[in-house]
Amino acid sequence: MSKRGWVITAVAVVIVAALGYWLGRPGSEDGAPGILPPETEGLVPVTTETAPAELYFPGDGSRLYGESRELATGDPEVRGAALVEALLAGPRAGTSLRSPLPDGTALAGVYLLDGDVLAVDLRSETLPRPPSTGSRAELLTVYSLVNTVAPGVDGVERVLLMWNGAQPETFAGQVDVSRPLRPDLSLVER
Amino acid sequence: MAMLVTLGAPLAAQEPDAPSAAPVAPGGTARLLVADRHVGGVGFVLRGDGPRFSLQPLAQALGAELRVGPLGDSHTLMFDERTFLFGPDERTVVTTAPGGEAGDERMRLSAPPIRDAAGLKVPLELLQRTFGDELGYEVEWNATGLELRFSRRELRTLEGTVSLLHQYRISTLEIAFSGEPRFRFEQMPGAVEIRLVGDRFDLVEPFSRPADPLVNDVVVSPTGIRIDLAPDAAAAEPRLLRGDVTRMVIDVYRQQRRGPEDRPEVDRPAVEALAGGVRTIVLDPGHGGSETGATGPGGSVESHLTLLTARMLKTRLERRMAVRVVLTRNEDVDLPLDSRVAIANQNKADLFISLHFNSYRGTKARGAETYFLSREASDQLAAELAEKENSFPSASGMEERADLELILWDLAQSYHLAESQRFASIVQEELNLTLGLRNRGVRQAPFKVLMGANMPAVLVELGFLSNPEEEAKIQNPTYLGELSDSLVRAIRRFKTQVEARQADRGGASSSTEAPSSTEGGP
Repeated sequence: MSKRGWVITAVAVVIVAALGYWLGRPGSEDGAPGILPPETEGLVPVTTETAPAELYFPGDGSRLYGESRELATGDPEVRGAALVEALLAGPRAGTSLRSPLPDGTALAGVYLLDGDVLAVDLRSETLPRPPSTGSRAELLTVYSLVNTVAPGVDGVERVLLMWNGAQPETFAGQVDVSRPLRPDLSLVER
Repeated sequence: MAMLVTLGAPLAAQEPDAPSAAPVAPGGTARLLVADRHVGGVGFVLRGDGPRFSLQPLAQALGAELRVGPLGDSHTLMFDERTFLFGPDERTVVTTAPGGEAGDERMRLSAPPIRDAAGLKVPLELLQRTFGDELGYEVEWNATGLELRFSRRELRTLEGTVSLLHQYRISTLEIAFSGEPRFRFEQMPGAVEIRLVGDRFDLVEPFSRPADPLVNDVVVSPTGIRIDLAPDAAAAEPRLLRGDVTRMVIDVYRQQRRGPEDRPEVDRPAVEALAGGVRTIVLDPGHGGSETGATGPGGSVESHLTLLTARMLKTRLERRMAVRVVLTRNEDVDLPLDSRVAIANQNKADLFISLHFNSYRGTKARGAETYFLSREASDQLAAELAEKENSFPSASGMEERADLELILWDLAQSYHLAESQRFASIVQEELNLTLGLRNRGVRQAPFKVLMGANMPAVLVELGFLSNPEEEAKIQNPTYLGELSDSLVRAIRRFKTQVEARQADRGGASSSTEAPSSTEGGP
């Protein structure tokens, strides 16, 4: 292939890749801004490196309880995905703790934004939005994620929560998640 | 009058359910003496912080009416002049003046009442403050002889003088007493009164009232001193200055007019909120329409209950207080969160209350919670506003004005946050005290409905629909009425505090509340 042919082929590959990426990006039905994710399949890559992590699950007394784990580590997105996947998998058997999110919730993607913000995109085939619960349950769900992810990922201070590729105004009707949130450890049982 | 006791057999206290972890204390039945007459026995327990006595037989023996709330926690002791509201493990007692709802005041006990299988047991101090002061008894406990004695209080006569001086737009009435008076301060339309409790007043020098623009008359009698106020005047609570004689000082000042000409400007800056006291309250029944909120196992729907509660609260507030009440929704419709707070801002509300019922997985969670906006959410809002302002180039003068407005807005938000916290604490205290709900406390959260409010704003979760027992209570309108009454009391306390602070700062109070009363004296 001539030099000109290589250039044309390279430009075509870039255009096709960009088009594919554009068409495949998430966005909400109501036009809420989507945040461009990287490839989200296989969210927790196989890695041999692990590091201690503290996961926070809702429990009796309407508070969050910490559970220590050893989880995969790597760059912020790998580590963030490992933390959220572990939360979704639920607490260890034999405790009174609960998974913070409804059954069928999965991790769609984890993306690093603005240096210290990690966006966590959750998805559900059956729920167009998280179910409306009491304010306390909603707070515990939100801060189960935020309190686990922000302190658990180096360099991340705030967490932006998304649902089915969109950034909702509130998580389930009351807690404002239109902005990234910092951890709130007052909800944690010491 | 020696009345000795024969004690009832001491027995171990029956406190299987007492929440405090005090060791099992001795107790039994003591002799009850009223005006030197043995009228029966009264159960008691001895605790490290003093004895507690069964309330029910005392109320019966002394002729006071005792009402117990539906949960068995809130107890109301009713006398001719006042009612006292208290409950187990709570040191605060709410006292209410004649007329029922107006003029709640608190008193703080050094030891709380407790509850055991036999009912509520109260400390000696509460007996002294209720039966003692209201019915004129000295209340004494003889721990050795196990005897509780109510003797007629001997009347003291305090000599004194009265003077009235008007200067700097304030009229000051001073009463000098030869000893520290036991008194109640009562406010009524057009007048205030110092009512002596167990004391009599002897005026040793004639009082000649000077002409005064704020005081129409001062009526001195052996039982107290009444001040008749000019139509636009109000009196601050009395201050006691202790020395060789005890001086009681009462300041009378002119109230702010409340005519339409005094209404705040449409563009009232946020910093001016509360400057005129608490006049407009916006109640937000949570959820509505397709957003039903939580549902209980018994079929209750949060959005219906919040609307019902808001309507009950509005009626009570408008009937009992001089306030305007606006509901964000008065029917079962969808209403965006932004619109709710916008309604409060548009109405220049002085207070915003979002009403909710809670839910949690499982059936155990119970109790009320009160939230105000988290500092972080408030700061982020301010940062976003600043960013927005800075993104528009403007002339230098305009820029300075915009900066100033931003600073003022930020200051106002800090002020509202502090006031929100204050109000949230009062709300929670009232709910805990009145209904005996478990204290789930005051909390901060980034709730959308509280963001952007130009006034103190709270979100109240009044109970858990997910708890079948609590849901059943919530479905009872009487219980919702009690919840509403708690909120009325909280709002009144907050309103009184705001207006008292304004009066302290030298501003005029705009309060036009119906009678209230404050207990004083030793």
